[in-house]
Amino acid sequence: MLKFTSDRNLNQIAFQKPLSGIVAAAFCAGIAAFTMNTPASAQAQAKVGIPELASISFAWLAFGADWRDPPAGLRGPIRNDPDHPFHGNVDGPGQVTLRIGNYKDPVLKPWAAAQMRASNEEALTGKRAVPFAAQARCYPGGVPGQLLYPAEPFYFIQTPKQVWMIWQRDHMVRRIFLTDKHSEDVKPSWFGESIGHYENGDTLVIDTIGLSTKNSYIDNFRTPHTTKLHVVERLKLAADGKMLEALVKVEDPDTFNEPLHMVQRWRKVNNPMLETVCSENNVDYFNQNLFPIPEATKPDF
Amino acid sequence: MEGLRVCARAGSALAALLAVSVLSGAAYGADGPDLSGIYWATRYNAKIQLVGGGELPLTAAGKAAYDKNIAGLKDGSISDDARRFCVPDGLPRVLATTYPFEIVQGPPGQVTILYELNHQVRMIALDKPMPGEKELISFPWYNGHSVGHFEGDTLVVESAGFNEKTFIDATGAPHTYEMRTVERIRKLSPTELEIVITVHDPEYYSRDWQARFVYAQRNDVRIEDYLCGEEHRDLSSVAGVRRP
Repeated sequence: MLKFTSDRNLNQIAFQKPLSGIVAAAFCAGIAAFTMNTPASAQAQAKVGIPELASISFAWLAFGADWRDPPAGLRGPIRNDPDHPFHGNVDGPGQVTLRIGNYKDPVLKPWAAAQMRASNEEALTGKRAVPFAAQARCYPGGVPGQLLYPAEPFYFIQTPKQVWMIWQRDHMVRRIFLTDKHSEDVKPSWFGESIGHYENGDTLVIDTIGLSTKNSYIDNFRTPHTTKLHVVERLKLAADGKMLEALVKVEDPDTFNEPLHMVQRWRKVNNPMLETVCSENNVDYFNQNLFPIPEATKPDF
Repeated sequence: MEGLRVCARAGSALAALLAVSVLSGAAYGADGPDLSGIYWATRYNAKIQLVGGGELPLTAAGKAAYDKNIAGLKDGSISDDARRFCVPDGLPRVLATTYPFEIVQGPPGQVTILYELNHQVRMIALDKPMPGEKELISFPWYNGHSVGHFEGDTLVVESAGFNEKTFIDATGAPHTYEMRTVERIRKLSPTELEIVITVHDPEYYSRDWQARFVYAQRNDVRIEDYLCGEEHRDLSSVAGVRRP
């Protein structure tokens, strides 16, 4: 299970599925040449009219921990402070820098700008040598922030009424209800209330409200939000099935003067899900005043 | 050679599919009876209750480990990380969860169990062999590595490859990394789920023993987000829960 699945193993897994089994049996008997042109996955997709996102043998690995720009004409995400250019681990040679968000961006309401500025100061003065990053400190990333977790893949489960998004990292789970409507009264939570539907056979559209605000950010620049946050994610599977792209719209009239739009991408990877427990041995070994991981001062029950 | 093996596999998959569809009709899909749904215990015991009653059949080594855990939990030298840092409970303790959990029959080839408590997820690969000894020892998991298959109306789940960071129950009953468990999961009625777990751990227990858990189906609730140290849902419907 821990082996990175080779193509050969993947074929064996695939052939254990009944539908693929039929295709393989037909192929072996030499009586169904048409199936060679139409993979089982494409047949299933055409039949049910939804993108095939869920599997025990493949998952989705993000390209990075920062939002990409949206299509031209749409207001994009918050970027780094121009005075403090961001240089990440994957940005080639050079000193890696901290993420210092552009609190001067005119899209921000004054309270949000002030909060980001304070967070930047904390990092720049070294008071907290590594600024808060949800998944590094065992917090849920919220919506849409969780989409930015880059180092381990996430998995889908799809049933007619529901979609689950399960991040291998700490087994964070989002639930998207396909046949319900938003509740009148939503109790704010880390991942909010998500209602979804499919479009065009290749896109999952997720509408999320009810997002709590404490330690919840819409990016790794620690851009905050209020409970008025409304997120619409359009997750589209590429025609070749190997890439997933989300176009995200973030509306929060108490935080932003206009909606923000951003993009994230994942590539398909052939990894079965492992158990990764964030708070196992998650210790501040180098005295960096890391943000404390969640801890219960008394047992829940 | 490889092609022949694939053909043989495909042939048996086809035969199995035909058998299933002929024998069981709509109620039993290719992935077995429908166990999917949200379940929630109505009763909680901190100390594991054995089928047939009595005490855990501890060996001398098992008793020594248990005594050490009890003393350490009392004086604080041993931390109950499943409650302090909300790491996974491990088996069989996770079965005593006082929070709802859900069983999802998917993706194809897997049953997934998602617990509200500590946002634990168990992936149960269907009709697959257990990973080899080397892998189980090299990559031990809190909730172990699990494989399952259906026997009639029952999902049979075998688990192995545990780490030694978890307890059998909230009192600190111990297990070794060599523990192996078998869970038999079935619907007792349209509204009740039963899990009977058999624990095999000969270093600490002189014989295999069983514990039984019954849950009410609660498709009226949604699983909530759970973060360590926050306020969580009301547990007053679960008898025996005492919140400190």
